[in-house]
Amino acid sequence: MNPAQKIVINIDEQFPQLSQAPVIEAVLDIRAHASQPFEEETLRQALEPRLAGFRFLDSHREFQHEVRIAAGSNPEQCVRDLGWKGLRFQSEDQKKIVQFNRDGFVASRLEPYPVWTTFAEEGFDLWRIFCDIARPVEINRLGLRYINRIELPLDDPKLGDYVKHPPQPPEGLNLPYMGFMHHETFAVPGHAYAINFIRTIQPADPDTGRGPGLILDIDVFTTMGVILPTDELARCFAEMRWLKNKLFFGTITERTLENLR
Amino acid sequence: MSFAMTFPATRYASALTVSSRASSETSRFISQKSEEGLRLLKSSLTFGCLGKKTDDELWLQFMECREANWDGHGAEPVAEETYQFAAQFLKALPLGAPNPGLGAEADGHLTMEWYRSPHRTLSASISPEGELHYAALIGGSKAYGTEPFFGEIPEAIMNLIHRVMAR
Repeated sequence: MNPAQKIVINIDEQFPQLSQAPVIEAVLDIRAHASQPFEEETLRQALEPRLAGFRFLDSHREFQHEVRIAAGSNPEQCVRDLGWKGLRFQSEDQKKIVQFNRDGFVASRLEPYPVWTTFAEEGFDLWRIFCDIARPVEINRLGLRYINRIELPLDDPKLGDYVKHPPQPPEGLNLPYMGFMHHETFAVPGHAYAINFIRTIQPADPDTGRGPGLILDIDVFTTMGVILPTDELARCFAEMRWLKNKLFFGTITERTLENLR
Repeated sequence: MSFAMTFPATRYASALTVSSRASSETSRFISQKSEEGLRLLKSSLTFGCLGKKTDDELWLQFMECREANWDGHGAEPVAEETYQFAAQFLKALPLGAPNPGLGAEADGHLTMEWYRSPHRTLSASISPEGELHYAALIGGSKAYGTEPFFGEIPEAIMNLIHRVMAR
């Protein structure tokens, strides 16, 4: 690989406004261990009065399903309870989900996506509540993830109509696609960020009547831990949003852009 | 005259870059597809720990050390959480990365060791809290420290694995 030039991030750059934004979930994920006792019952009592417009959704335990096969013995199937992780709350309109976990905080916004400032400010307000209760000492990872879903026609969609560099069948063997999953991870030279970029097709869902969708999942994250006041956090997320936008608008075709405007 | 600021080329790092945690149905679909792809590669003999049975070795190590006093000298048991973190760590190693030797310590931590010679060795132990304590000896240089583990191999440790195992 060649040495790469530093990327100049311009958080003031303006991007096209999309009235039909294809964001089906936007996520602020801040991984920071609680330094204070973080127990299920007391946490719920502390959170409920502070989360106006939200109601308790569930207590998050982690399970793992496993089948082990050893020579000379029967397969052993087990479900492991990995313990309690945290609590989830959901807004009354079911569009926002917030997680208060022992190892950090996650704010999700489901479709329809509002403007960035609304999404970010709501997320930071909830983050402050997490900080008051959990008192994290250090942030280990920031993540800003946008999952976009662009509706495709049922019969033989031409992916090149939607994205600039669609997957291509092997030259000389024009096979039709049954599916694809592209996962790229980009470094951001000069900055402690990286980007996971996943492109895939979500098949049609007969239960919901939803047709197939082209998924563009852009996840910008930090690559080293930070100790940050909230205003610095806002600047980091603004930079990560710029990277996300550059990737998104650099990927879709003019035609898609026009359809989303 | 103009100067271009350049940075070293990035080394391909972790096989598994952990996603930010989402809640929607589509996010679950994406996780499942990613997991399937990685499992397929790692189940081959050429790539990954699953094919080379390191995963099974880790399981056996855990089973042998999950009760207190497993060494007959009062050792702490290896906790389920420690095993889970270590399994995630192995899963996150880049495709084709050298596999570590596995062991357990009297304090209940699981250890992974990359050994090339008495003067080129790296040991990383993982705690039930998900902290990675590491110490390396590379010729006359020593490196040690602690990194939190969130599902990706910390860069400091990945660099040491490369340095210790470089031919």
